[in-house]
Amino acid sequence: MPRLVDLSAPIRQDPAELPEQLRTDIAYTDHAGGARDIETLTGVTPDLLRDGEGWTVETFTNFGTHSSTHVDAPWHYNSTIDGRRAQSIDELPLDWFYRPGVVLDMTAKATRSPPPRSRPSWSGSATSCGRSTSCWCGPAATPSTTSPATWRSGRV
Amino acid sequence: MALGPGVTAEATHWLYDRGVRVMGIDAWGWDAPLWMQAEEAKRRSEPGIFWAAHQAGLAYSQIERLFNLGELPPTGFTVACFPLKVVGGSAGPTRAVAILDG
Repeated sequence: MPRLVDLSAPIRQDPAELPEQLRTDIAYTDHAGGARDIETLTGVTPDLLRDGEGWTVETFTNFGTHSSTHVDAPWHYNSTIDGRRAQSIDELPLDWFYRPGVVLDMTAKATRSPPPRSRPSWSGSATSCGRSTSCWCGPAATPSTTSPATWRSGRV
Repeated sequence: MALGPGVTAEATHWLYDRGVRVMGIDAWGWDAPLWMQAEEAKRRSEPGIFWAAHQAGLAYSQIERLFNLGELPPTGFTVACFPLKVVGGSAGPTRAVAILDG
């Protein structure tokens, strides 16, 4: 079994001070709530369930496609690209998303000028992620024609 | 969300020209933080500054908010990052995973 590294952000309830457009809200239904739902849907009462418990369910009450670790489609950037309608996420080829990768470490460029007064208060909140310094790049079109090792020396 | 160097439109073109169609970053966004872009765009009052890399005119995908990139070697891994199949969607959440060689 090869070693796996999880590159994804946890999806969890965000703090209330985050603007609604940026916040993830999750409603958790516990086993008792699930039992109530089962009774409502089917008429099966809790005494017919193991330990009286029903199913647990989570509902995203506020969760956008860009709210966690996500893949952007060209459609996100503009309606047309190169004179054609930009592709949405369901239209992109699956093989784009299973490819060799290379890490470009931009740690040296991690800090910029200090935040100005115009920086909104929410911009430093908890939804930021890891080191904010690296970009991973997966070659899609012609991985065999360019050595990934050469990409590291490029300036990004 | 507040800090990070961001990726320029030029760098995005550079990667695209080398065949890269999926790029990713462990920051909130691919471009520099929004407040930085906004400040610069308003100060110079011209297009092509705010969201410059997003709107580079390239048909590519980018992954935002990656984690644990520091655990990866420079090369020698495969990334699986299938997006959820949102019809007509501008993005899809993904459980991105790196599979290390050997």
